[in-house]
Amino acid sequence: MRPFAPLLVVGLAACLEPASDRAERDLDLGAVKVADYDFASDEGLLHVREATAQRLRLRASCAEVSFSLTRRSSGIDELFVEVSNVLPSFELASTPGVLSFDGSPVRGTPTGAPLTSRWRLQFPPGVERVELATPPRSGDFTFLAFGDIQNGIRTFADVVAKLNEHPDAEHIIFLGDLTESSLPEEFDAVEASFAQVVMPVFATPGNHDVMENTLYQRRFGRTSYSCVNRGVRFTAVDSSSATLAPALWPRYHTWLEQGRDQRHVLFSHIPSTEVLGVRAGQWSSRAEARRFIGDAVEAGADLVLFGHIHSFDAYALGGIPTYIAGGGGAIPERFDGIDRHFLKVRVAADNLEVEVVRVDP
Amino acid sequence: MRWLALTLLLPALAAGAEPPSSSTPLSPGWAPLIAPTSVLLPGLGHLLRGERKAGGIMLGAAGIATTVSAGAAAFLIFSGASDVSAAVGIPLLLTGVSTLLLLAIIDWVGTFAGDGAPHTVDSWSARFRIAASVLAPMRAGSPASPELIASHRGERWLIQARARTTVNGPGTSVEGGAGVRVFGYSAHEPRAGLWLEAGLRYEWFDATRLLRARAQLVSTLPMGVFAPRLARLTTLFRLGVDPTWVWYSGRSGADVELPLSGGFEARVVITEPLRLFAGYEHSRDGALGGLATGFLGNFYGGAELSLFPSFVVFARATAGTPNGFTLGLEWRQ
Repeated sequence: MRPFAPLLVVGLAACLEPASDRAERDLDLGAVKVADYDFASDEGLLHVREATAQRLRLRASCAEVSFSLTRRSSGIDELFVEVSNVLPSFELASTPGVLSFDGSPVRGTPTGAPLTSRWRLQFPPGVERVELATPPRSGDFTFLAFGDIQNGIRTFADVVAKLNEHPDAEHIIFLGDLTESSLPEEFDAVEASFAQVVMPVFATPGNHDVMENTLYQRRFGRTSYSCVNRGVRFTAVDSSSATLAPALWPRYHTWLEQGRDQRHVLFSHIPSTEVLGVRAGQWSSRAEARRFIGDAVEAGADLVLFGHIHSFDAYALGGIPTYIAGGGGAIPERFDGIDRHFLKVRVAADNLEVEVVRVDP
Repeated sequence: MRWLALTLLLPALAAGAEPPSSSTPLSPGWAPLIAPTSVLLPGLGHLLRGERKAGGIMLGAAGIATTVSAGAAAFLIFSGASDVSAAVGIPLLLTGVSTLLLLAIIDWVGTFAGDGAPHTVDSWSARFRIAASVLAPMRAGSPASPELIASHRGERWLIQARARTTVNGPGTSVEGGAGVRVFGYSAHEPRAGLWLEAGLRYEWFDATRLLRARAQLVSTLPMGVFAPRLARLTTLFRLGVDPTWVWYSGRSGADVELPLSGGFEARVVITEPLRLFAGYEHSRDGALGGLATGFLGNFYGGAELSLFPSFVVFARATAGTPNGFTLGLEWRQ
């Protein structure tokens, strides 16, 4: 027993690290095996909310997704797939005979729930595995970004109204802290509020969302992920414990490598390094924070977005334009000249333009 | 400068008040009661011991520290820890809480120490020190960091050097520094005093380069200069800034950071060869970071054991991100 004692201590220390627990659990999300079929989404971007023999309910974490279904029994010929949190123009394409006769992209049938569509999939005779994906898109687009709603949920309708004044935006990047205390009723309330927004919300958790360390993932799926929308890579990095889990570093490096020839937007909750050193509202290790930015600089990342600080800051880390936008309504900083706000980011072929939109005059 | 020195000395002055003739050491059986209450009411142990003056001064000092800490915390909460308020509130909070915790330790030691405790010199204040250590982070995949430290202290000055690397991992640094004593607490204890210390650290990991300057006021206080009963206790308090320049690969110009640095430490000689220490490190740019985001650095505690007259083995456990253990050997002369 004695020779294994150090290993046990290390193992125990690892188990006590909430960031590591989430990073490990992430890998199990975005896929499911049921009696009749296996479902797996690439990068875990489709969180499984319900899986039965007849119906698969999913929630998207990105504007463009892809997934596969593998038939495990001959008893299943068709399946209803319902995907929420999608763009109104969201389409799926597959090989001929699965969604459409000729394989052309198909827009789903509205279910009545906001930003939710349903598709009827057929397994062609003799085909055991089918692959579906959003057709690649291109062109300029706009997205909004902010974080930190927390106890500001009571007046969040003001923010929702202001967000809806920007229908030209495709989606929202949420920078963490949906809730104050990770309570189920708080997640219910914030989901109900976001149901009033005319665009999907792609999020990463904040420190207030992981006080109960499993609920966020059970509801929304992976905390760290990377995906491409209109040729721009978006990478969510779970920093809600003020550190990066060791298991997350190799994934981060892979995403940076994949984004080397793309526009790359990194977003996370807690700033790796914030402007005001005295406050240090940033990662718990400065060395780790510098390593994070150093890797991003080396891979040519284009934009970094953070929440956590209930204010607005624009600065640069290693030359990368960096913004803090914690203007979702949580207790605001005083004396800083800005209250609730969000960012509006226009992505064009040759530049990224960031504008601050104030909710409160 | 004298005002700052006196502020830092206040706890010691309290503990050093002349004990009344009726003062008797408390039974260690009181420890379970005194230990937690001293955190909230430093000085209670001395009052129970019959030392009203010392206990009263300590309680007064704790009251001031509590008021400063609570005021700073309330200001930070009210203002949402904004840029403006944090610059004032966090140094005050750090100073207040550090004073409270040091008072608590002084109260514990002073309460249970006997009046006739022999004067023991903590070899930590030796003129020459050379140490080698290894830090092992308690996190899977985090590599160990060996470190070399050397220092030489004169009557009114000191110089020190440090080098650290990471085995099979990023991060190597070299550091040099110097200090000058600007206010002495005792002619018999050269290390006791208020020091101005400054240093430079150069660090490289992957393609990133970093230069950290440090300027700190350091109060080093062997408590024996105030009361023989406290001769086994030494306290340190540090406060300063770490202007840091970071150069990332392929980018011209440096990122500039200006973090607050500081902390405190208490050291107790248990027996001649065995010493215990505990403290708080505010800056979070070592191999082990702070406990959490915001203004919370890491806490540590450990022990030193003198194997031979000039050699000391030390072990330290740090609660940070990640947690870690340090084991080292030091030569002191």
